[in-house]
Amino acid sequence: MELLRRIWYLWNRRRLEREMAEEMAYHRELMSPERRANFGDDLRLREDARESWGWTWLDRLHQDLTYGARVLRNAPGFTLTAMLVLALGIGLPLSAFRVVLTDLQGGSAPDPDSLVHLTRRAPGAHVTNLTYPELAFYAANARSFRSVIGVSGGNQAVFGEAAAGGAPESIPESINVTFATSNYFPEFGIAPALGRVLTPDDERPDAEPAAVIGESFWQRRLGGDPAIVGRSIRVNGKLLRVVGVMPRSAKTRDEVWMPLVRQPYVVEGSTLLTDWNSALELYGRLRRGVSPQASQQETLALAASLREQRPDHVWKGEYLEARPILQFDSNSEEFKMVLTSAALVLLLLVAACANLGTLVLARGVTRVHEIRIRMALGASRLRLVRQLFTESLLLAVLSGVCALALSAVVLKGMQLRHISTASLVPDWRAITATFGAAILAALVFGLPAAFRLASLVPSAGRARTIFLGAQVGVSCLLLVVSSLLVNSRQRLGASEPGFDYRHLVWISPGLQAHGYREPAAQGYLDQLRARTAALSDVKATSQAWLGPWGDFHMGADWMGRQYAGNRVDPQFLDTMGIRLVRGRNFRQGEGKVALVNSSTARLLWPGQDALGKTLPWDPPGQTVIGIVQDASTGHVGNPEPLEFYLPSLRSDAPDSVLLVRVSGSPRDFVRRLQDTAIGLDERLQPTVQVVTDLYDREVGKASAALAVIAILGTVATLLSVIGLAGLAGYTVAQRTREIGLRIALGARPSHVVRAILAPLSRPIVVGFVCGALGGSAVASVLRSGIPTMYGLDVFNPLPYVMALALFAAVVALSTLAPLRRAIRINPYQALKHE
Amino acid sequence: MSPDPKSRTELVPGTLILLVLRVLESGPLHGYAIAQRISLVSGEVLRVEEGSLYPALQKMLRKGWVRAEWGLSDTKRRVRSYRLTPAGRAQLESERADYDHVNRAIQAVLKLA
Repeated sequence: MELLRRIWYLWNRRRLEREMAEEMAYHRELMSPERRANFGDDLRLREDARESWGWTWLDRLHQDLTYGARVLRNAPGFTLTAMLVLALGIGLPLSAFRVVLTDLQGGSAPDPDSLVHLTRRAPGAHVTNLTYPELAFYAANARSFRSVIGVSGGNQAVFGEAAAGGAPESIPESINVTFATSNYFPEFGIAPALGRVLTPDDERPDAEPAAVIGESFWQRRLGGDPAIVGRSIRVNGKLLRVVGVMPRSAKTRDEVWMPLVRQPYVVEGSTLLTDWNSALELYGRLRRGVSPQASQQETLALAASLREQRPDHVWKGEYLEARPILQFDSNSEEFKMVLTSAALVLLLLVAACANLGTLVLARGVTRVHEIRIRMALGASRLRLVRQLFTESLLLAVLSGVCALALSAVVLKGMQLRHISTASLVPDWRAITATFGAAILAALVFGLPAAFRLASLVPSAGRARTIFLGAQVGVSCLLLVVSSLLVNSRQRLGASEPGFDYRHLVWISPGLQAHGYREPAAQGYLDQLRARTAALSDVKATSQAWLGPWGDFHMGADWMGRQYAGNRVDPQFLDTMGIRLVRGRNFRQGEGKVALVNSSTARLLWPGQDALGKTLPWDPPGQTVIGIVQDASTGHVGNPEPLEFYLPSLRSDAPDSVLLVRVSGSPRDFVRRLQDTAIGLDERLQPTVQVVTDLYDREVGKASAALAVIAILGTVATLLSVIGLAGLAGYTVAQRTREIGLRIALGARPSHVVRAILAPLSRPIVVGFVCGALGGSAVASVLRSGIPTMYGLDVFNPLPYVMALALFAAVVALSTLAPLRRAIRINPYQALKHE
Repeated sequence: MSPDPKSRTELVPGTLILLVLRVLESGPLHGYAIAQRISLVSGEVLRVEEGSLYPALQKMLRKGWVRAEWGLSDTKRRVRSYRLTPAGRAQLESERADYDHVNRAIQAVLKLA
């Protein structure tokens, strides 16, 4: 009731104010003349009376805001600089977090705690993928799960629109298809953007083959026409009925979704549903009250019974590790990367705050006069602090608005380059985070400054040193990291991978997916190889298990080092252009032998002859027969690659690739190779990789990381320039008289410069040391997370020296103008007031 | 201003609202009349400062103890008079009881101690 009356008062306050004035005037008239003077000031009385309604704070806020707005408007230079600083400081981290969040969310699964990712684990073994028979087994038998979800994403296929009535088919396009069980959609909370998602009905054997298409694919390729639902498309030449459109999200990048059981329909000859070699991602929805640990107990028992049927495919002591999908593996490299990146972008916010703190302080010195007058007129200290803080708050909120706009621009840029699908319109979380950060920033940069200025003797004191140190530290950290990255990037550019990657193509015919088994697969590869060798410009061919720089890797972990491996035929060295240093090559059909590269030989058997030694890891008994020159075929840009090569196994054939070295441009070769492969079996959907493209892609990834850090570093440096200039200016303004006196007493310009820089030097030095240490720590984390950063050397002094030099230049540049002003102080004018 | 302490006694803190409520019990009055009436009835001993009367009235409005309404004075001027509400009556009773209670206690101490 009382609250209602208060609001009613607020609503009608103008009328009520008038009425009160009238009432008081009447009162005064009725009073005897001699007492009338006693009535007191009308305005003051009315204000007192008004106060009892409790809305005075609103008046004061309004006053403060009006005043603050006027102050900000009257100092456009300061306002714009500060807004720029804070908008960058908030907007860039905000954009980064929005991108990452969109990535993490996928479809915002309901109750994510009970949705677990299932992987095979046994003592000493871990595999992330499972097969369809296992999926069926666990779905039927595991009581811990309400449902078991199987997904296979990124399957290459060829898309063509269904040609109606003899119309020419449009150009076929290579797309990615996801095959998923229908429970994938409700369990991951994916609602269709249009039409419907896949349902259990679509999994029935007699149902019409159905597909859901991705939103961006729909817009790009199919013109975003809503009439697509109900139409047919062709995937690998097979007709599929489109039933819906999948919403855009980073987890759902593929073009087409189909029921998992329909995989053999579009991939001819596929035995996915029956064989024990396929690779599905498995998720489980835990029943209410069942913990992931309890489910692991159950799958341990189930796996043991499955092992009795298929001892060759199930490990001893195997169980399905269940990890909630939102839970990061805190030991994983990915987690460290995300954490480091988050820390890096947040550092920018810290730098921005520290910066604004110095700016606000620096500006305050010009307002000392005004503040003293206000205090003399009776403003309380608290009132002044509130007033000054309101200004900061106003500034922060304005910057928040700019930050939202900035982040929309950044995201738009990323969308145009297909890096992210984050929505441009901020959701409530983004808005809350923005203004939360803005207000927090205002507290950090505004409040200490306000208290300092409102004290009787305004001087920057400690706050200034801390602000300056923080800001220098952050700038230096980012500079050091960018400098280290540039250095490693240069090395990457300068280092040769050790084989002739410029003339190399490899083709992966995808035999496994189409049901090829040994020996048919080997027969096919032999034929393909013979036909390819007959093509003009082909210099050499080789069959290998893994294509160089492909997505699949094999290796060994020994004494804390990663050794990359491959299984290859005797022509591998010749085709790749890798030189044999000592010993001999494989012979056809040879087993139990191995080739190692020089670095591996040196590291495993230091000071000894590697020839004739046995590789220390599983499978045992591989004798080294040859040492080859260093080549990084597993990852791009590893300057000291540790690699070993074993002879091909007969069972490798269904998923082996054919390497082809050509003369001339390898890109012209892609089509010919594809045609050759399809000419032998037209059901196949072969993938051809040009190795230089892979190289460019990897280098591109490293460059992108570098670009992001460089942008952060540049922004932080820019912030430093602004902050240092402001601070030096402040110092000079504050000490004008003192400097004037010094000059009058005969101080030379060098003394003056020293006097001004001396108080700044300690925070700068401390900040720089902290920044350099932090930078090297951050760089080590980055190195472990990005394969192409293997060359990054945190102990190389050069990047640090360069960062230091750059920062020294920044300090010099930003303090130049204030120092000039200091040197030119005219002692007579400076001391005139004394 | 007036040096004569007898003619103007400050109100005991916290009693202003009680007095105003009591004065309004006998009928609606406007601000000046409230002050006059308190002064008159107390034999010009108690004087209500304008500076505290109006804030007190606003507080009573806020609490819902009185309602303000505009009317015409004898001199045909628009005046705002205050009328006690049922809530105000209840408040008057409770404040009066409180005051009596405290007053008796004070009297007892004064007599005996």
